[in-house]
Amino acid sequence: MAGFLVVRAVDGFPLETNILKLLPDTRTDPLTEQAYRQFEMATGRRVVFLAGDEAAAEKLYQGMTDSGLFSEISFRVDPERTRKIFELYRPHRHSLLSNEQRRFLTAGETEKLVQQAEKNLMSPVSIGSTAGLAQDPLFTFMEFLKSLQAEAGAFTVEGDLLVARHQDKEYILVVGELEDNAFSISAQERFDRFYREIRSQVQGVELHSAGVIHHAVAGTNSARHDISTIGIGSMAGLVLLMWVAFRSLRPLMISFVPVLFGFVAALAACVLVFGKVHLFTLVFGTSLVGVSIDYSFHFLAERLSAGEEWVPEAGLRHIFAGITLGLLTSLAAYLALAVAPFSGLRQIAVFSTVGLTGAYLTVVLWFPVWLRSPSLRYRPPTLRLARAVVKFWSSAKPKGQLLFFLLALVVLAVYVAFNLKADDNIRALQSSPREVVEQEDFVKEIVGSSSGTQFFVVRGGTEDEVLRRGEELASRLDIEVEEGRIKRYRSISRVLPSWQRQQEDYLLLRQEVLDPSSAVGRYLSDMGFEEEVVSGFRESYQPLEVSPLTVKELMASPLAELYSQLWIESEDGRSLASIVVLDGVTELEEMRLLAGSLDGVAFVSRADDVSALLQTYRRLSSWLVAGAYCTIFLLMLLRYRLRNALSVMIPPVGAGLAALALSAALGLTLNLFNTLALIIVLGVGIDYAIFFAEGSGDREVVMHAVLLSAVTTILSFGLLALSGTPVISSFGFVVFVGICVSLLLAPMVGGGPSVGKPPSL
Amino acid sequence: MKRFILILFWTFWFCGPALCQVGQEAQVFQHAVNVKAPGPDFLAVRSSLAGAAVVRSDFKQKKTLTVLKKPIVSAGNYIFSKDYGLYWNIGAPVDTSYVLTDSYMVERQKGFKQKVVTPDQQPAIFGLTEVFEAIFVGDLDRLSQDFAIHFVGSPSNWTIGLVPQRGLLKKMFKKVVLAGGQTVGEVKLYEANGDSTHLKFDNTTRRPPSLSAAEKKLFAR
Repeated sequence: MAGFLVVRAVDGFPLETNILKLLPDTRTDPLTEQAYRQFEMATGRRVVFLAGDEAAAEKLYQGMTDSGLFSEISFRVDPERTRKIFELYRPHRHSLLSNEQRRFLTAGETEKLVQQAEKNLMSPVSIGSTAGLAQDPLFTFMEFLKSLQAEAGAFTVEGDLLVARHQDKEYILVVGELEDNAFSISAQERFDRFYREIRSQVQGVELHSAGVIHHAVAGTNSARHDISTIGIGSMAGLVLLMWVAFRSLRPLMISFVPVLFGFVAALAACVLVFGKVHLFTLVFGTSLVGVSIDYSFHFLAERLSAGEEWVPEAGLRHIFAGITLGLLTSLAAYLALAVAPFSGLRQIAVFSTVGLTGAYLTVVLWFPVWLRSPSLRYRPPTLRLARAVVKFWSSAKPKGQLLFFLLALVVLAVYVAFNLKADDNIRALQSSPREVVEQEDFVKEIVGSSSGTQFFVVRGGTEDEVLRRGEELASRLDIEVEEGRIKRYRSISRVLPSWQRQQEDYLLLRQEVLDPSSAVGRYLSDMGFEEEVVSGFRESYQPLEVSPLTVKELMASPLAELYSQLWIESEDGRSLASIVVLDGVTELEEMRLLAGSLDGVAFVSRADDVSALLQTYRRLSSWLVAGAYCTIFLLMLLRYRLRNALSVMIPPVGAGLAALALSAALGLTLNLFNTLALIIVLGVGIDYAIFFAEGSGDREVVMHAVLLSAVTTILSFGLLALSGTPVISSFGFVVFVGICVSLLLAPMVGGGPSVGKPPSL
Repeated sequence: MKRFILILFWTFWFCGPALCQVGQEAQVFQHAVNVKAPGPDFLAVRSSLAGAAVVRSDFKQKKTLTVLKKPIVSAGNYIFSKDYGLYWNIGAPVDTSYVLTDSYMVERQKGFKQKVVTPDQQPAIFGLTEVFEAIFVGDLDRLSQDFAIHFVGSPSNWTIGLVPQRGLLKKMFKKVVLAGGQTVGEVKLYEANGDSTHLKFDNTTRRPPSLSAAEKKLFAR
């Protein structure tokens, strides 16, 4: 908690809250990765607003401008927008065909083109479009523009506003690009303030908004809420505990010095090594309090029990073997994490190693100096409790106890193996509040733009190649849409035919227009068009080649706003790609197969890729955890006989298994984060066990220290199990159960007359 | 001489009403209607036109386009229902029908796939077709939203002039003229680019006042 507050106090601290940043990047192809990054950045910074009326939209726009949060705001559109889009295509009208008309021409059904033209001439609805009839007597350009309009989505330009109608209501579109990344904490705070302010200003008028920033704000708010309410609860609990145990708050202060020192040192080390500290590292790091405070408590409990005869150096000597071995085993456990090629785990490993070592050294070097005077004469109730526990375990020591526990562990392990399910779905871990999700769905329904977690990357060596491949993909996607496997898609090929297609379409039309005996030719003469109209139209089809409409022209038009995110050029300009965004995908595998069957097309499903990654790393961490348990068992074998080594392992193994079994019983699932929590459980459990195994002196004193440190640990972060953030609560739950069970099982360790063989460490 | 008088007589006999109408059409735009306080004749026409639950009619359409040497003529029929919307059928020379309801528009051309458009997809087109529907059946309440209204004549022989006030309509149309008696008899649309469309309605009837099952089927999507 304290650490978190420290971090919060230092403005601009490089804290990372995006869970995905814990994971390594697996995409190796640089262009796909660039496409991915660029697209993610664009969508990540985009915030879409829908305002119920113009006044509210105006206020919103003012607020957005004043906030300084946005690098770009689109509100009032160019009233000439429609005309400019028309002008973009007009010079190329001879080589543009709608998909439907292209099919007619390639299938030799030219008369259908003519029938459509006749219908257009007679339709009462399309009267206005005859204005361009002299230039487009065959209505092919109009049909092309009509097919584009279907693309434009629900918005129409009214005056200089973009207006959408939905269920008889009107909404005005305002879109902003955030200056900062949505995961920057200061941007989140300022955005949160800005949005609350605006909402109170336009009360009574509908205002909707969607964007990654809303999820980020909600996530950070909930994490902060957790940490502050749980933090206050745990602080109060700790103060009370200290008072009951030591009748003085001084031990509390002193025992937190090593923890704090360790924490700050760890933080510094992480910033030094990684540049940024992840929120999850911090949560994990906070939980290290539970391990590092052990050292303090052993010292304090020793001092309390020594009473008047307190000699700090002797006290330290009593506990030295225990806490040193405790530190070494914990370090072994955490360093096992660093084996993974996974920056998140490495960060945790560095953090833990530095933090624990720092706390340990503070206790060993400074406590004898700080705590020279003996403690008050006081028999705390916690010590009486500790004594009762120790008595229970020493009286209940039937033969075959070890065997019984080992058997119990096997039973637990079998239960866990058969009942605990894993779920690595990132969507389950990153659940946002309902309000945010509903808003997003609502905006998506109207705006029709997807948040873009599933898309194709189409690559090629030339612009034309990318466009051609995009066209091929689009024709396949049209079928998928028709068959309901996706809801819609957004692709540049819908507004820009490839050069090859433009040339082909031109030649198709050219052949019909220039031949007076073709259906088109007869239409032109029979309909009674003025001579100069017909001759002018034929004239325009004389050249054999056309200069194509290019991406460059498209990006210079108002359409750039909608399509620039979908066009990617590599930094050296040598490779090109376009992105085709999908919405409402129901069959993922189908999309992968589709991508596989086309040249230069890759399917990216961000959430699923991340989930797959989480799965990989959950599996890896499970092995690492198992490896850490084995390593520690081997270490224990170096120091103890087999029988005692086994019994020392029972608390941590039992705690881990019990936590998993309870999770399974409660219907919780295994994920990367609670798997990592097992490392903490191992660290704490083995510590407790070793303290009992090594405790040459009074077992009651050891029990007292373990009891205090367990309660402290539970108060300081086991309560995270109550968190509303799934990642944190699943982590907290395992830690909570693990520590409770470690505390219960630890006193069974040792107690016999000859526990150790000669120290070999 | 006698023949000349006879010809003159018959000419007047047949063209008189038309000339009368032309007269009204020329005058109508000098008689703006204050929609908030309209005269009794206009009120009578408005409520009479608005009173129809169902209207069926044949139409002849003549489009005069500046780029064409001759007008394009087509003919068909329409069915309007307050509950369902408008069914507009061009029988000849292109076999095409349109169905326009609040929630969708369907275009059916013989030999083509039917096309369905919803307001969410193409709000602009919908706004426009709604206005057309109002023009054909004389929905003056709806029209007064987008047009300045002018009126001359009596409830049995009236002319209404419409001048678009804003947006796309203003860009498209110079003016619209409706004329008729009990029902709308003809509609003339004058476009800004000089083209015009002339619709004449015949056999207009309001009976029976509800749709038959077969007619209802026409409105389905």
